[in-house]
Amino acid sequence: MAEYEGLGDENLITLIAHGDKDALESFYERYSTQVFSLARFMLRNEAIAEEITQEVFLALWQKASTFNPKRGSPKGWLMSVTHHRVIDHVRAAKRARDSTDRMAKDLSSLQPVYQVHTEEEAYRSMDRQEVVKALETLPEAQKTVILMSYFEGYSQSEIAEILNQPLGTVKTRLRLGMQKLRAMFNRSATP
Amino acid sequence: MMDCRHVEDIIPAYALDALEPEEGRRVEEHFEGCDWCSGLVRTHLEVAATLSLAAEQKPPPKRVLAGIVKRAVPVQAEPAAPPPQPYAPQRRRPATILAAFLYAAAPIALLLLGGVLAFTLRTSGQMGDLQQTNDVLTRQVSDLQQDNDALSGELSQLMDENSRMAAQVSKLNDDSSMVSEMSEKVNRLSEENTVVTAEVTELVSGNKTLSQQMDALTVSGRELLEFLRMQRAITYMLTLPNTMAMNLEAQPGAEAQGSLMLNFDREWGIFVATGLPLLPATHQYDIWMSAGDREYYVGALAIDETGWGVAYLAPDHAMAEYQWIGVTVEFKTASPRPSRSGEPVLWGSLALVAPLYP
Repeated sequence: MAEYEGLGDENLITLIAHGDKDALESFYERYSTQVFSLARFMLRNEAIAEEITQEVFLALWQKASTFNPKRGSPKGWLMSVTHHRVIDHVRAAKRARDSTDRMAKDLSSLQPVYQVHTEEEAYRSMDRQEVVKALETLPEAQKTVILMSYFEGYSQSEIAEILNQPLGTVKTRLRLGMQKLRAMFNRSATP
Repeated sequence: MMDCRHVEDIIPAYALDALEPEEGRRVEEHFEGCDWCSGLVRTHLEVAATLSLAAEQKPPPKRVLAGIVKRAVPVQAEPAAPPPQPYAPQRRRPATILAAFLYAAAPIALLLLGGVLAFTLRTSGQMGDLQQTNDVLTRQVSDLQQDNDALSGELSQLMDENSRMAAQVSKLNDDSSMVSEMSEKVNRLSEENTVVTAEVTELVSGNKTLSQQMDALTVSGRELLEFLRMQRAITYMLTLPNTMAMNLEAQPGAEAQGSLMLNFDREWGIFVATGLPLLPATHQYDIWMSAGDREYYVGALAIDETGWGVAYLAPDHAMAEYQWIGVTVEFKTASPRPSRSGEPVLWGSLALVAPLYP
């Protein structure tokens, strides 16, 4: 396994596409925490999060040969697949819920879900602290639509309906918020 | 078909999975033929991936990896996608490019040179990665070749083992046939043995009966010989010239009679009794003789079913020393009794003996 540590993500994907299980384990070591954490965070259910983590990496194992680097990095692809699967679960659960209950959801409950709880945890996940800091710098309206879409799984139309805002306004807030995050993340990534 | 301007507007929502499913599919169709928009979505997917770090980070339990490794069965590898290439916007703005070319030909040349240099360095880095990947794959091929050689050896051994086992199975089949034949023989012998055992049991029973009959005949023969011996002794005594004789007395009313013949020269005598009652199996008749003040047991008197009995007398002392003779009824014992317990049923004084031939 140590021989894989120096390999880039794309090389690992190539090896996985050739059926190398060690490469799959190495890739798992790199990103399983992020995959599992996102699923656990969005679903509030560890058991389903474990299941989704397994599904995501098994999908990677089976579909590694279809990876297209033009469309993103392996990590971006992996997290996109993860998010898609979580969203599927979230939306299926939402369909089962009463729509009025959904409409009455207190948006303020979104706030604590991404807060850093302890000093130790903050030290352990500096990247996370930076992401949270970046989110906090966004205008409240942009932050809300991004959180609702990415972490709660609402579509733009649903957000417009819940917030009682025109769909165009929601789209604009999403686009502007993402552009700002992109700029901030690039600055953070620059040494 | 969506145009690039519209797609650019909704790419952030696509990266966040916030589009409606149908709209998302149409955007993906657009990506297939548009490198420019594919490059844009790549950037936004990176933003979304980074955004996921806002979730509290916690590693999954170890069983998750175990489950993946267990379920990750080998798949037929499809041709891998080519390595990533730098993407370029598909949209062209001819006027802008021409102006840039006219006003900045020299800088562009320098930039191209730098670009070539950078591309060379990047390609060199990728070559390094590919070389590393190739090394890993080469080692894996070598490992697989070794595994294959080892498996071939094992297969050869297994085939040899299989041949040996087949031969053993064939031999066992033959043995099984022999065992079946032996089993049939054993069954036949068992049936014959049952018949023979019944016959032997019958013979043993017959033999027992014969033995009992022979025992009875032996007893009868012994008794007959004793009777003949007594008859011969009586006859002999009757022939002797100095034989003495006397009759014994019986209890009043009894039918019993007794006679005694003595020969003082030869110190022996014969006692004869008739009409004695039959006794139960627990009792017998005993003969007693007295000398001085003592009585001596002389012997038992056996009688037949008619009450007739003969006894040969050869006492320890000289005949002349005895004064009295009698017969009593006693319990049967294995050893000579020291004294009589009952009164005599026959008795007589030896003083009464008289010559048989005066």
